[in-house]
Amino acid sequence: MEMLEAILQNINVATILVLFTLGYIAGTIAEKVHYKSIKQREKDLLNLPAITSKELVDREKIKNAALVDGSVVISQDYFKRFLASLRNIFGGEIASYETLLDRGRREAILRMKEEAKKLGATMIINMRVETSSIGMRAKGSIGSIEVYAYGTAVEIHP
Amino acid sequence: MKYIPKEIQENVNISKVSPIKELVILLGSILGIVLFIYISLGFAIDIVAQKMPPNMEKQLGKIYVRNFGLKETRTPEEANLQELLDRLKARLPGEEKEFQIHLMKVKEANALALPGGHVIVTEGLIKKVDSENELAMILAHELGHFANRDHLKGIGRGLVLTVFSIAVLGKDNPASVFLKDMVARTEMKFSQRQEKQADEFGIHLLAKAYGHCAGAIDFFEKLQKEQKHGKLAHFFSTHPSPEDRVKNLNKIIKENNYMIGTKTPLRTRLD
Repeated sequence: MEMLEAILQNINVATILVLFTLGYIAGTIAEKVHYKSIKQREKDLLNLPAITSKELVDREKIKNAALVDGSVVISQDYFKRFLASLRNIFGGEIASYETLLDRGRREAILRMKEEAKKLGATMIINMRVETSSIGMRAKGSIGSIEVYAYGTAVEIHP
Repeated sequence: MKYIPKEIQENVNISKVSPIKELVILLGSILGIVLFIYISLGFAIDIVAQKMPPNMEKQLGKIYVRNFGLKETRTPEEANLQELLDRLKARLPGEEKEFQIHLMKVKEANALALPGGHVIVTEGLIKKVDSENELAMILAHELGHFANRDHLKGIGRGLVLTVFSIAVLGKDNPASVFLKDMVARTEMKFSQRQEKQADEFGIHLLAKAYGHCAGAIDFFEKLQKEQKHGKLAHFFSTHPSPEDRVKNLNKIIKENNYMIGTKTPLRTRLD
């Protein structure tokens, strides 16, 4: 009973601690699961390359072309956001955000490739990746990002 | 050139830092900085209390006077007490400071030394003392706090922040006003050593003013008796035990061969 009272009295601190632990556990699990899926899908799509050159040398060989894009909105967990806010004080690399951006970019490219595969494309040329933050200006920002990948899917004569 | 697809083996875009380790390092650094500031402020108290400009102390004193609900005007009783305080002040070596006495309508016997040279005595204290000498000892004790700058040191770390804020931002800056107000609300904390020093200062001043030390230990003996009856008076809650104080004062009287003369009756009467 006393324990319960103590928790109720410090409800603010308790909430933060719960979010903190939950954020760490849930965030770590989500990240692991996501990476596993990313790696598997990347393997499956290895034969559909995406390159950044604007043009292929042999224009004549292109049978079909279409715009393909992949977009993903991904959020940071409470624990990592707290870590990043601490980094704000001292400066330096925000290592805790690196996986967020890496996952975002790879996922967006994968989605783009999956779309291209449906269209029967051989490869994607002129690929671009853009990143933007979402809701950063809002009070109590949710610290999420949108990654958008787009390119031209081409089908080449064999 | 033939394109040969390859799987990503190692990811160079992700640092291999354990987030828990990073958290410990960052939190540790913050705690270290906070601790450092806290300790430095502690060391700065003595210096700031010693060097605080008089006009800054006066400003702070005004806030105390306002917070305690004291008035600048004097009642006849206060004028009487002021005369006694001035007589003691005249015996202080090289002291140009102004001291002002305030009588507070409070039942508990208490006396306070506040910034800006304000001395507060309660009605309970005046009713409790039986002779002028007894009261003079208490006032001399408070003057001892002023001489040792305890009235500023007792404020603690907040004083350093306030002085810093006034010096850098100016006295009318909202931050300075807020700090002054906060500081004036915190209770003064004196150590037992500071109380002992004030006692020692007080008894020497009493001897200088009267030529003898009659009544010096009266008040503390009363406290001692009260304590034996199990009634804890507010006055000595942060002070050394009355027993030790009486012992210490008697020792000083003996060492300096101070005389014990006849006591002067108290002129201030409260109905």
